[in-house]
Amino acid sequence: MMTPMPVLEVRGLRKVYRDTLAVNDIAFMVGRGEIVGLLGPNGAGKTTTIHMLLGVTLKNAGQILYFGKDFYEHQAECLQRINFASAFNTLLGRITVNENLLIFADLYQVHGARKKIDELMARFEIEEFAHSLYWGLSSGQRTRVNLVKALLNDPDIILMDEPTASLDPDIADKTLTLIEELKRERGLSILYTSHNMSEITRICDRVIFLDKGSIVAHDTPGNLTKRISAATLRLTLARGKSLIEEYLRGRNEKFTCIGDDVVEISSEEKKIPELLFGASRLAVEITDIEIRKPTLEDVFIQIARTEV
Amino acid sequence: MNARRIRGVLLQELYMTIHALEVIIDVFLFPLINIVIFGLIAIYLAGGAETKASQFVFLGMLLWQIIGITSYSVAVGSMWNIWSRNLSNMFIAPLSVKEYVTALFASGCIKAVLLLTFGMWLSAHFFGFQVLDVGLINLTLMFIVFALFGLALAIFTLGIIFRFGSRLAALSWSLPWLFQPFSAAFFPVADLPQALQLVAYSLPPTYAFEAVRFGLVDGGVHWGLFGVGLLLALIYCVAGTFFFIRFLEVSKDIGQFARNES
Repeated sequence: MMTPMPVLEVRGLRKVYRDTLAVNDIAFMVGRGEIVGLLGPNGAGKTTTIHMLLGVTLKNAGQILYFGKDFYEHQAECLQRINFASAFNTLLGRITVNENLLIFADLYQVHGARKKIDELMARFEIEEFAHSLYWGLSSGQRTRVNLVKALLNDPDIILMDEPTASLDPDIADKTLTLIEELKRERGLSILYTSHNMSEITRICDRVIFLDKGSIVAHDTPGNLTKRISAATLRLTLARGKSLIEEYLRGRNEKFTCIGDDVVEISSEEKKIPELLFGASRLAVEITDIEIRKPTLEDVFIQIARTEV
Repeated sequence: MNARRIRGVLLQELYMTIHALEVIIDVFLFPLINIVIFGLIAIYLAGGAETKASQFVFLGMLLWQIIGITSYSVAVGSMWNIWSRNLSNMFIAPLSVKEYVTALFASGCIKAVLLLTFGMWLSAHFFGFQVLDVGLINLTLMFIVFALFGLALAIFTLGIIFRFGSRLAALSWSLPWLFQPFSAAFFPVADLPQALQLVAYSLPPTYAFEAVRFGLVDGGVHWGLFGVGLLLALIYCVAGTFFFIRFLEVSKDIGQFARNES
């Protein structure tokens, strides 16, 4: 069976700023309808990678292929089919939303521009701001206008650099829902950077972790969290705390007592059911059980701190 | 070159001119104030029987606006995009640098024609000076030389800003004025000190100003002077383009192009 051509393929991409290796021979692919998260601590090389993928920063080595074509050799053709949305790039503040969008409709040679703009604005619920100056909009409204701009040319792939940064949880949730719908309805591919791990877990099919310019992990969010075996079990007890302590010492488990009634146990995730079963057989009264499984945030912290 | 994309940038220029008071002040109000001041100076000088000198001074200020406005339009048009963090958005679209600069240059020429037309009307009605006495051919040739020189300065300035950052933004509106004292705008080159005459003869506007002044006296078209001016203006454009492309490449290589908006 033939593998479908990736929408974006990066091979051996490298960028050096004087003595600093910003991006070190990274390679990855984004398939059709796939959302790939690009994560990493500050200075990991995410933004430099995105800038190279957009052609605003030059690479030192490697190859960027969109739709199987070399980006640097077919730049205008590729740019016609991709787009970009970021919380950090804004449109012209001194002119209206509609005027901004009409300009980009011309730059992308959009057919039926006015109708398309109206449709997209209706979808993002920002029709009422069409004639407002862009600089007068709130962060959430600007983000939605940026997304309208990013969808004007019916792109096959959108590069999103922290599109929900500075949004309140409600607007961020609505934005993510829209992104999920776009993926479902149009098979849109997205390369997505964010520092919000729950967001990444929610929308990304795969995650690439960058650290010091190199890819240090590349997997699904679920598989990545499985790499961290530690989980936390927190028991709140009405009585029998000393019995629990004795039981845990007997099993050589690490635990901390919080106040008179809470015991917090750090253990491997797979041992949690066994621990709970053992505890339930003791003469104790457990009033609350809280299990905290490893999250993508834990993976992020581990990578950032220990260079996995 | 794609006409639709060029139209997009022209639309941006139009919307900015309509909405941004600064653009209206810089492109229309300040030049008009200058024209009025120099018109009054010309009237004062003419009272002392220095008729030709008064015309030269007035004409120098009026025509210099062409360089100022074409240069301003290309360079400051881009600064608005940098200040708004929109320049990357423009070039993430399939817009080429050639299309972008062409559109900004066209916008600058349109603004210069509008201002020149209004300035000519003002001078005819209020200062009794018919700019068209210079001759339409002289005026057209001079416009071409000045506009190309303005373009050359603007793209050189843009290159510097892309390469070294927007802290040098002031160059985008001030650079043309640095050349004004050496371009024989208000008086013949022969009146400049010897050393400065060499500088003057290396600048395209000098030849166009000289040709216009001779034209005003003898009514002829001084093709030789315009030819040298045009050739020099083209050389400046080629040099400006060379530096611009080089600066842009370095800017993209060291990441400055993206950082300009951060």
